[in-house]
Parts: sequence; structure tokens; C-alpha cells
Amino acid sequence: MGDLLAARLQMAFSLGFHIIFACVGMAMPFLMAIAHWRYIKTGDAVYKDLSKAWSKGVAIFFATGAVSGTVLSFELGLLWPEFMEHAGPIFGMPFSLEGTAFFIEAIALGLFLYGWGKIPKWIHWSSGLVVGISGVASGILVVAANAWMNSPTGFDYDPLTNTYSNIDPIAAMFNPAWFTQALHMILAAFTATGFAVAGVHAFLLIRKPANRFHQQAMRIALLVGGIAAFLQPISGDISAKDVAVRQPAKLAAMEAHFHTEEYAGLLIGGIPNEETGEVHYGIKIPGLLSFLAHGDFKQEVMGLDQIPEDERPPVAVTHFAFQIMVGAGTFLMMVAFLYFFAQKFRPRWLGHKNFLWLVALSTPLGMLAVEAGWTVTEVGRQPWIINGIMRTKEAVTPMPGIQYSFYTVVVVYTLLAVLVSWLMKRQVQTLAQNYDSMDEEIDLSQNKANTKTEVIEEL
Amino acid sequence: MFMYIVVLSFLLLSLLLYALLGGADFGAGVIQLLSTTPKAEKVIGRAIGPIWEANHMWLVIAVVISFMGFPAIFKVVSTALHIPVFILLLGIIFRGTAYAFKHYDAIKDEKSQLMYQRVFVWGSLVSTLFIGITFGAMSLGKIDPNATDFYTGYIAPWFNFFSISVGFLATALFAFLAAVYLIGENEDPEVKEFFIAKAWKWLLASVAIGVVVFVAAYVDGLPLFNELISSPLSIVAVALASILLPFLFKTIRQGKVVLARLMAGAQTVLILGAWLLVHYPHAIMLSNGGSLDLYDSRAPDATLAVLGWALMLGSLFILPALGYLYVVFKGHGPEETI
Repeated sequence: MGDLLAARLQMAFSLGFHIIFACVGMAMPFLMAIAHWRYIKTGDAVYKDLSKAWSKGVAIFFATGAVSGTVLSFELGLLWPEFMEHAGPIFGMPFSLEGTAFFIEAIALGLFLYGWGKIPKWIHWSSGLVVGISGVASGILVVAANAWMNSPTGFDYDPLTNTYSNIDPIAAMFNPAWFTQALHMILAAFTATGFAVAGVHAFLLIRKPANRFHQQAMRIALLVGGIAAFLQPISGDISAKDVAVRQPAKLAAMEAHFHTEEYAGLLIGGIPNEETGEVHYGIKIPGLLSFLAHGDFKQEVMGLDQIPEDERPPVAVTHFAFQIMVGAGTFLMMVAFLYFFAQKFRPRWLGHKNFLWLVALSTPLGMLAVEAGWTVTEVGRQPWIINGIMRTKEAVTPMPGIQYSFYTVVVVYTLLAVLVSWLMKRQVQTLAQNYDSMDEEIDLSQNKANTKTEVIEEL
Repeated sequence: MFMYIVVLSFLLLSLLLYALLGGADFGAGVIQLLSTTPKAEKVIGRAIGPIWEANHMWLVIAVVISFMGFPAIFKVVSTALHIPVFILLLGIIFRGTAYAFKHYDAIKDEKSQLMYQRVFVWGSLVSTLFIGITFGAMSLGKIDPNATDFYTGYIAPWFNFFSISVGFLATALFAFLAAVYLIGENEDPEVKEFFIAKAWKWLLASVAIGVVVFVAAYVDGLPLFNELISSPLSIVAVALASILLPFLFKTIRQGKVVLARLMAGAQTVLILGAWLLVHYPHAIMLSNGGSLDLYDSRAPDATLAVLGWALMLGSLFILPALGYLYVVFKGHGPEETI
């Protein structure tokens, strides 16, 4: 394995691992805050238990996310020293703010986890909310830095002398792609986390259909994940139009669009052949790509044939990843639609085995879409690390033998992933003995919860 | 120039706080290396529980300041010291996750608790060792950015007597700091006695390894002693650190919690301060006798300006919140974790 490929794979693996924990860190505190709010308002113990049980999971995810994030901040230099030397002073701004946001997140999480019975209840509730807000702020900032790599601004570049001048870190942070990318990522985080959590509880409901704890958990998670899943296509459309203008090569790779044409069709499925520029077994919807990219069915869409050969991204990987992302996202949106429909008109469906299985099977799909989406944006930018300015191969560390650190990272992170899953299983196993409200059962046809009066001062 | 000083101050501040707070978290693992008791283990878990993640953020802040404010230095450290930094990261991953898993595992069976504990302790040791090795290597002067062979470029800079002895010095110092902090975390005389004994041992170890570092510097051709006495400020720092020692031994023996904490912190600040003073304005010593200097490696003014503002504004948020966290949990550690 070459060093460049090893470095790219190590970065991809590290990012792919971290992003799951980052998503949970962004969205989960809001689920906790909703449950916690309902507890304070109703005194219903099931919400308190839910908030506590979730927060234990969050603590494990947060710790793993914190260390894998620390690793990433070093890996930027370990793997791409040439990139960081030039890019650091330009795109470092969001990272310096992210440090603050993450600090506050860590502090607020400490207060939230250990604050039961120690700090006033509204400060306690707010601390949980602050965890979520600063988590989202961190997410926006880090994505803004990535967006800069896609749409580099805030400096002048002289290719002859390879110098970067007139640096403006604020302009770099507010690069043209920051908003569309950040919006897409935040919605993705809420969708993925909402459905992952709902799926786990749905799975447990299949065994104990009348369990109130899991019912409320699934509903809160589906509410949050469902709303995000519905908004995501709008954000996706904004992103597509943005990419069409600034990164036509990426769009062409996403769509395996080899030949520039008017009335360009939207490709669904299909296996692209990069040698011949043909696509097999795909369905093309005429004119739709033109419409989605430029808002006009007739408009010409640039194909890969107009991109110099040494500036074309890998087509197959980008295209497949894009299909997976859109497919998973669409599926989740339909599940969300079913949920909202049933909630309003057919409450009995929510306890039906088939519905529970549907939600349970959706557990990994949101995270899968997130991984696929990052693959699209990163592989689709190749061969560039800074779009149009610096090539990835120019940025890679001169140190040989990177494949060994890649193998190490794979082994360590795989081990961690297995351990975290095992720990989650143990959390679920012990729910019944830790939380009394776990035993409460309720008939689903009754929509109202039997509000158990609990002394709120206990907070 | 003003913003350069602001940014540099924040870099030093975050490194210092990382040593004082994050270092002590690592040290809490290291002191359990040779022996521990179930009670002590519990006190340690409770003491670092609510704050450990905040403590480790100082490292990330220092990294961000480095790559944004001093990119050339970040590049050289990341390249020449790739291997020790990578091993440091492995240590951070293992000890951080082991700590969280140990604490939040829903089933606290003996077998898995023991496994977490072992990983936590060894991860802590690896981390402190390689933090020291990395910083030792930066000041030794065996880094050669133009090296053509693997050994000179990526091994020789850090795999040497001096860097490794600095690694052990950092380990001993952090362990000592942790032990001193932990004396006051509990009223149980048995546990107090345990930490007092640990503090003594690790202080002795620090002094002994400190001597070894000077020998190693001599062997590896670094005129450390001459450098230390070349600046009046570093002479004062070293003198103060030495004068403090007997008093430190005494306060620890008497179990005076606050005074011992302050003096142990001061000791660390003085040693780090002397080291930084000796080296300023150099950040990295190179094998050709030259150096990478902080001022010459600084980012453009526009970058330093926004970075300085970001750090100043950030500290307006961080410091009060951090203060609140410590007020809530320190002095009377949470009796019951979630």
C-alpha cells in the first residue's frame, strides 16, 4: 500500500469513526433535555429515568468522541503536514472557536452528569441544553473548516511561488460553502441519532410491547429524527445547487455524469465504468439533473469530459456513496412520514410489530447515510485537498510506512467500536433493575400517560 | 506584536494548565501502577470524574494555537516526532476510554473492572512518558527536517537518553502532582496516608530522575546546566524550586492539603517555567545547531489578530464556567455518581 493511500484511508477511518460519536454528541443532549423537561413539568418518573439512562450512554459516547476528536486534531499534522503549514493560519479560525465550544460542552456535561441533586434543577436542566447547543456549535465550526477545503477563500494564492498572501481567516471561515454544508450535517446528525435511538428502543419494544419507558423513548427519538429527516431534502437541494456551481467535477462524479449535455438526466443506481465513460444498469430520469443542479430542465450540466483527466475524482466510489446516502435518507423520511401519520390518525399502528420492526431495521441507516455523505464530499473533492489549489499528494507526510499506523488505527478503533456496542448492550440489560419505571406497562390505545406524582424537590 | 504576545501567552497558559490539570489526571493513573487499594481507586474515580474531560481540552487548545499561530513549528513536530506523538495518541485513546468505560459500565463485575483499571493505568503511563519524550526531543536538537534516511529523520530525534529521561521526569512529576492533589480528596485517614506515601515516593523519584536528566543532557551533548545558569530568571526559578523542596516534603508529611497543593503546583510551574525561559524564543532545536523560533514561525498578523481575539473571548466563557464546575465538585466530591 502506498503512503498516500494509507494516509487517506487512515484519515477516512478516523473521521468515519469520530463522526458517529460527534453526531450522538450533537443530537443526544436534546433528546435528554426533552425527557428532562417533561419530567420537571409532569413529575412523571419515567422521563427522569429516561433522561438518566440516556445520559449514561451519552457519557460513554462523549468520552470516546472526545479522544477520537483529539486524535483527529493531531492527525491533521501527522498525515498532512504540508497542508497544515499553509492552511492552518487561513482556516484555523473555526477550530480556535471550536475549542471554546467543546470546552463548554465538556464542562456542561460534567455538571449535567454529576449534578443530580447537587445543583438547582433549572441550572441542571440548562446545563444539559448547553451540552447540546455547544455540541451543535462545534459541529458547525468544524464543518465550516471542511467547507473551506471545498471552497477556499480568504487568501490570494500565487502558483508560481507557491505562496499564500492577504490572509483573512474570517472570510475563510465564512466561505461560500459553510452554511449549506453545516446545515446538511446538523440535520444529518439529528436524523441519524434520532433513528438510531428510536431503533434500539423499538427493538426492545418488540419483546415488551407495553413497556412505557421504551414507548416514550422511541417517540421522543422519532419526533426529533423525523423532523430532521423531513427537512433534509431541502438542505440537500441547496447543497446540490451549490456543488453544481463551485465543484462541477464533484457533482459529475456523484451522478456518474461523463458527458456534458443539456436536459441532463438524473441517474438512479447504475454501475459506472470509468474507462469507457459508460453507465450500466442505471435508470435515467430525463432533465431532472439539470433541474436539480440549476433549477432549469434545459440547462447544460458539465460532465467529466470537460474536466482535465488528472483533476477528475474517482467516479464509482463517489457515485455509489451518493446513491447510498440518498437511498437511506429517503427511506428514513418515509418511516418518519409513517410515524407522524400514525401518531395523528392511527395510534394503534405505533405498537404494531411490523411498525416496530421497520423502526428497528432503520437503526443503522442514518449513520450509514452520514458515512456515505462524507465519502461523497471527501472523495468527490479528490485529487485536491484544497480545491483547485493544493493536491492531496502534495500535502501528505514525507514519513514512509504510514500503512502501519493505518493498520494500528483500524485495529484500535474496531476494538473500541466492539467495546462501545458491548457496553450499550450491558446498559440495556440492566435497565430493569436500575429504574423502577421500567416495569410500568400501558395499553397503547390510551394516549395519556398515567402521571405518577413524584416529589419534584427530589431534583 | 501585541497579538503575538497574547497568542503566545495563551499557548503557554494552556500548556501549563494541561500540565497542572491534565497531567494530574494522568498521574492519578500512574500512581496506581505499583500498588493501589480499592478505597484509593474509588477516591480517584470520584475526584477526576466530573472534570477530566475539561482538563484534557487544554491539549486541544494548545494544538489549535500551534497550527494556527505557529504553523511551521506544528509541521516540524508532526513530521519529525510523528512516532512519539502517535504513541501518545494511543495512550490518550486507551486511558480516556478505559476511564469512561470503567465509570459508566452498567455492570460492575470484577473481571471487566480490572481490565479497565489496567488499561487506564498503563495508558496513563504511556501518555505521560510520551508527552515528556516529545517535549524533550523538541529541546535536544536532534531534529533534522532535511534528513534523507528513516533513522535520522524519524527515530533519532526522540529515541535517545535525554528525551526518554525527560519522559520519565514528566511521569514522576505528574504522578507526584496527582498524589498531592488527592490527599485532600478524602477524610479517611487510611486513604490519606496512602496518598501521602505516594506523594513522598514520587517526589523523591522526580528529584532522582531530575538528576538523571542533567546527566543525560550531558551525555547527549545538550548544555542544559550552562543554559539554565545563563539567564537570571531561570536561575531564580531553579533556586526557588530547590528551596521549596524541603518545605514541600514537610507540608506533605503534615498533610496540609491546600498548602501542599499550592506548593506542588508552584514546583511544576517553576520547573516548566525555567525550561521555557531557557529556550525562549526557540521552540525547536535542530540538529544543525540552528533552531525554529517562535517569533519567526508565527502566522501572518491577520491570523494572530483573530486568533488572539478568539482566545480572549473564549476565555470569558470558559474560565467562569470552569470555575463553577470546580466550585460545585471540588472540596466535596460528589458522593453518588449517576
